[in-house]
Amino acid sequence: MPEIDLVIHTPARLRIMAALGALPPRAQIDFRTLGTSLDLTDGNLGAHLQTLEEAGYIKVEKSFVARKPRTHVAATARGRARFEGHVAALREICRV
Amino acid sequence: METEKLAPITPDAARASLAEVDRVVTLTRQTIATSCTTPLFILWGIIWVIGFTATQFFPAWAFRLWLGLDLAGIAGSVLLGSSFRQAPVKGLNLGLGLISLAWLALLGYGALWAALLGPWELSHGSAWAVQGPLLGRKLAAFAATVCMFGYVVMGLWLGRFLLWLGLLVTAATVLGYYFAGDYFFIWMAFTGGGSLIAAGVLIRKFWR
Repeated sequence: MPEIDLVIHTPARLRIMAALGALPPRAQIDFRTLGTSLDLTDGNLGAHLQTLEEAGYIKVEKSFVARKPRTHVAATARGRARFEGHVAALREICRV
Repeated sequence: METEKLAPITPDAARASLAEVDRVVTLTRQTIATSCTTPLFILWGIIWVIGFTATQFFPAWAFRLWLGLDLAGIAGSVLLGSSFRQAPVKGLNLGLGLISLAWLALLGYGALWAALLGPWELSHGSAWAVQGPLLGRKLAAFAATVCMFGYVVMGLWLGRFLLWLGLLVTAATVLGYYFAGDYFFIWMAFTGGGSLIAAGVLIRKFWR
């Protein structure tokens, strides 16, 4: 029986996990692109990403591209599984 | 980690959450498509516009011109491909290497079929004066539709947009081949090249 995940349930984190879940496995999205497409400020996005990272649902990778720091974010296997379970639970509620 | 107890979720709230998930998934896929495909559409659209316009007015130079343009297009595509590493989404592993090989195979077979089927014996001497213009149109329509066949097949895997773009340009090519007469090449420059450029610009504008 799929369960609602309390970490993902927050609207902003649900959208973040939806975006990361839509990426192919092993693909990572740029922090700025993620914030722009989800209409979240850097601070807001950073706080939600920290919560998701602490839960083990995402991994954050910092690197330098053309000498500029860039942060990339990806969902972990655990994060993808929890997100899919959360969506399945929402679908169950819709059927009630 | 959140520890508070969850208030019951109503079916309406669950439906709204699922709709938001669908919206974000679509948005993310469009971001991926935008970062990878739009520069290639615009590049090849410009090549088609230049190539077909020049073929219309300087048909004797068509072969050399297209050879140069195609080589420039391939070099440009490789350059753009290497810039994907700095794209907003990395590690896509969309099989771009395999896609490139599939395109090479398609174009190679296209050239082979053209060599096997074309009535090249008529392209010598006085017969060329009669057959040349028609043969040029046939060859251009063949090359354009072979490329669009590639778009349609890619569209089956990568998204309907490519599928519809391929079908649209194929229809425009067939229409131009039968009805545009002597203006076929300029028709192809506008409809074929124009569609590719418009596709790149529209994706860039509306899928951001």
